[in-house]
Amino acid sequence: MKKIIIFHILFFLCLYASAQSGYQGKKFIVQYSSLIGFRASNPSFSQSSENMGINYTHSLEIDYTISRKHTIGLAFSNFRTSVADEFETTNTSKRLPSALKLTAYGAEFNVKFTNKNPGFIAPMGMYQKIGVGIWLGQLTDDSGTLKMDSIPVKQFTDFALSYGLGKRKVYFDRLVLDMGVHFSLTSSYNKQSTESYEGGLIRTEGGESYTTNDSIEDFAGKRLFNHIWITFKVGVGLLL
Amino acid sequence: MNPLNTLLTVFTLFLLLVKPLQAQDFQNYKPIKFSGSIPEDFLRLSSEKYALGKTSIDKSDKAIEKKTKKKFFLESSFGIQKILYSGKVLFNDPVTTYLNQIADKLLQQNPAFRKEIRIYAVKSASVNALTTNDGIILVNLGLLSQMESEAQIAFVLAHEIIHYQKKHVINGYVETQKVQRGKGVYKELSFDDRILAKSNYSKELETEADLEGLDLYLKSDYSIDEIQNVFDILHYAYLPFDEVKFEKSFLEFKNFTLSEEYFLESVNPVGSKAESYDDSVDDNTNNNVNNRGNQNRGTQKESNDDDKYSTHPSTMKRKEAILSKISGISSHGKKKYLMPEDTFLKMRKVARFEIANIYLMNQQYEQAIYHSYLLLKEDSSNVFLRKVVAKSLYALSRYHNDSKLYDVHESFKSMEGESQQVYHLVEKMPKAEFNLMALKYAWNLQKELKDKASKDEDLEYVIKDLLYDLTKHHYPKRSSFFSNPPVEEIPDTTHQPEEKELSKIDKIKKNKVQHKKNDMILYALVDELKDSEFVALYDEMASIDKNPKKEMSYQQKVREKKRKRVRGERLGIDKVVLVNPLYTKVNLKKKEKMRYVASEQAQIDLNKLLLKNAQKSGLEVKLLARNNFEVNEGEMFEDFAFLNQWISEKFTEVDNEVILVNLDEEKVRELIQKYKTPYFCWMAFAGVRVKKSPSSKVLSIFTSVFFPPLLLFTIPYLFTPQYESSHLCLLFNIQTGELVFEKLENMETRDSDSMLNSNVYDTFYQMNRKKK
Repeated sequence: MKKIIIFHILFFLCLYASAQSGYQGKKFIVQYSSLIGFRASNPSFSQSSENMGINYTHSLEIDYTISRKHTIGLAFSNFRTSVADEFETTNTSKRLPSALKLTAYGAEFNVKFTNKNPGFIAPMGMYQKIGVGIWLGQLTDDSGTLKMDSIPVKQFTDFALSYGLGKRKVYFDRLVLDMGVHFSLTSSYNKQSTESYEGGLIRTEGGESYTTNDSIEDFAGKRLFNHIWITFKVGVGLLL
Repeated sequence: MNPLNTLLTVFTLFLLLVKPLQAQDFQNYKPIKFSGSIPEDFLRLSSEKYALGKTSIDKSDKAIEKKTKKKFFLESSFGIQKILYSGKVLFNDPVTTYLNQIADKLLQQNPAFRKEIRIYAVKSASVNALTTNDGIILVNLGLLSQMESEAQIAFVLAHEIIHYQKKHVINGYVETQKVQRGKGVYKELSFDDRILAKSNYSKELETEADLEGLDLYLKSDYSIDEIQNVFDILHYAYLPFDEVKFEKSFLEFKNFTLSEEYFLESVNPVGSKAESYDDSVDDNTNNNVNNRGNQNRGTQKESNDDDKYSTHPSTMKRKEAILSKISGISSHGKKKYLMPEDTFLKMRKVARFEIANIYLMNQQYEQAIYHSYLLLKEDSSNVFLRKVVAKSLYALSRYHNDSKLYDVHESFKSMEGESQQVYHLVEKMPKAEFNLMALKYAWNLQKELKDKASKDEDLEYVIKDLLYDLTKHHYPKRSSFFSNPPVEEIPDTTHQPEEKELSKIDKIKKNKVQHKKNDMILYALVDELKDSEFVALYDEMASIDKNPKKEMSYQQKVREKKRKRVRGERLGIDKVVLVNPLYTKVNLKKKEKMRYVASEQAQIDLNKLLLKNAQKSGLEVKLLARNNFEVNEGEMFEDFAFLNQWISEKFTEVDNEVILVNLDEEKVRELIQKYKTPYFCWMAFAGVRVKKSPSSKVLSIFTSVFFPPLLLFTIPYLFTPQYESSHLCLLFNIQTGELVFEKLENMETRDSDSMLNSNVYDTFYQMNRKKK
């Protein structure tokens, strides 16, 4: 809570300190973005991994122009997907009985540098973005077996660093179109979840329950990373 | 009293009153200004003129000819507009009115045709006139300044009218294109023969204009005796309007004499370069108005008879052709003047005064001095002309002191006639002495004006600058100068025997005399130093720190640049006048790269966009832009013209790295007062569609073949057009001449409305943002 308060104080201090131009004086942008990831093997929320999957992340962004070249922003993101329905160990191929669903919520603070090309004035034009964020993941089993009245099976948090390249265009002095490519690196990107998983997450003899342990979290963390590590962004927003 | 006597008395009194009044006009002459309503020719859009031109194309023409004509109408419509907005084409002025009155007399019998022709005087010193395809005839003041009678002007106008009547401009263009393409009868011709063919066709048109112009002229009441002199005038048009010995006393003052060494014993005889001018006189194409006039006089040589590759027949050949046609025709009942002779003389005088100023503004200082010298022969006390001389001397001194004289000066060797003396003097005179001469000229004039209670502010700045230079480059202390006149006369050593013929003692004596002679300039300020005002001014200029500010280090410069880029400026300006913002659209993928019509539309949209963003940013903006004038805004057009001239001078000064004071301080003050701001801004925008290089296309395909995900980038790259755009903004404080703010952005993106809005708003915002 303390951190959140400090963060908000800093954010509003930035707003107060800025007295910059923006686009015709409009400095705020409220934007919806869809981050699209094309995956060859990872499943989407509804599709198995056999097919080419398209992973979507939905994001609500609020940006504020603080100088001719800089914009600060907050992004709140969310996605739902399946963790995996197939995995491999070194010598066996095992299958989850049914998809394990992952719902993730992210919050990110970012700074956009409109310095790629000298002529662009923030918030318009080409930019590079650097951000830090936090992800909250919830794992649920939608088979119903362990649903326990929608109480998540497992919750975990992950930190992320992000970098992006993009271009913002303005139409009719109000409408913003934002396109680009974004990369994210999460803290659990290198966890060897499949190896840990082997011992725990298997159908029990009776075939009626899962074992949840840390290895599931690791496995889900890696899935989260796979979902967001490279995405193409298309956003539509309003200049205020 | 007899009524006739009363009438005569009143008339005589009127003449007595009017004459001095007219003379008084020239005493404090003011250059011609634009006023009243702006003519339709200026206000109509070029795209409309182009559309109108296209409708006149004959449908039965071959496709290629139609295309050529379309191209002609496009280029000429926009080219003419550029000339009209150059600020040099006059309207509602007495000279233009006078020229139109002569045309009225010429075409008295054909009033319907007369209505098609519009004549304008042009502020240019070159002896030239040009006609456009849509009936505009532009007559340079340079031409009027050399004419000897109204009839001569009528003959030149008759020639130009025929160019219009016979559609020579478009016909010449179509034929030239045909020759260049090597079509039809030109198919088998070599390169040289094609040039010759073009030249011959052009000469045919000129001859036709001469002969048919003569027919038109003969129908009028103008005397044919005047015609032959027209060609003689054109033949020597590269020379000043008169040929009078340049007296050295013109630039001598009490305690300041000029050495004979600075003057040539004999000047290059007139005529040796006359032929070179033949080609430049009477241009019927719509090239830009060349306002530097005969600055390159004498640089080309061409035999009088060798007009083989020229666009015009030689003047002498033209003269012969005309004379043979008029031989035997009587001038009985015909006149030199159909309007009062006085009007012609006055108009010519106006033209000559204007040219003195034009030379000054065009940095042709020696010509300005000699031209003013000729006019001062008639009226030695004329303030306007003496100011032109003072300012010319000042500018030359500035360039001299900064060792950049040759940026504005041509070698005396290439000159001919008496004006050569001025070039020689400028070249041979040492910097310090020249500086002193300019100072004394300006100071004496200012003193004289002050005595008449009409002190001039321009001269005030000129004097300060000259004193600043004198204290910086030559005499930092006033004590260097003698305050009493010399006791003994210093003999002139100019005509001494050769050095080798002198004995040792003679040489020592000669050196002593030379030293004394060099010291003579130290007596130059004897009288001035008795004037407390001069002394105070000298001390003030001497006390200014002349060491240039320490330059920033490279790191500091980079840091400063970055700071400005991120934070922008805070200029705290409330009001700005935007002068002639320009928009150009170019398509490098096409053969015809310039997108004229699109540029004009973009220009119109830009005017609106600028005003919209000014309003949003809180900056008060006054727009002086083409395609934005109303009919009754002639005075604003005057400001527009002046400011365009001002900025072009500024660019030249920046190029030459020699900064001069405002040479028309009065007008500058008037503008600041009128618009309530000293800040004037020039903006330019460009949108360019770029041609992608074939190698980059191949490379992108090649890499995508090996790494297919790159197709995501390759496909848009291959199939979407590529653009670049630029935005330039220069904000000047016209009072100080200082460049207050500059911005140049080159972007690899399309010049979309949002990009323009973003940039323009940001520019205005930086200007308006209050200082911390």
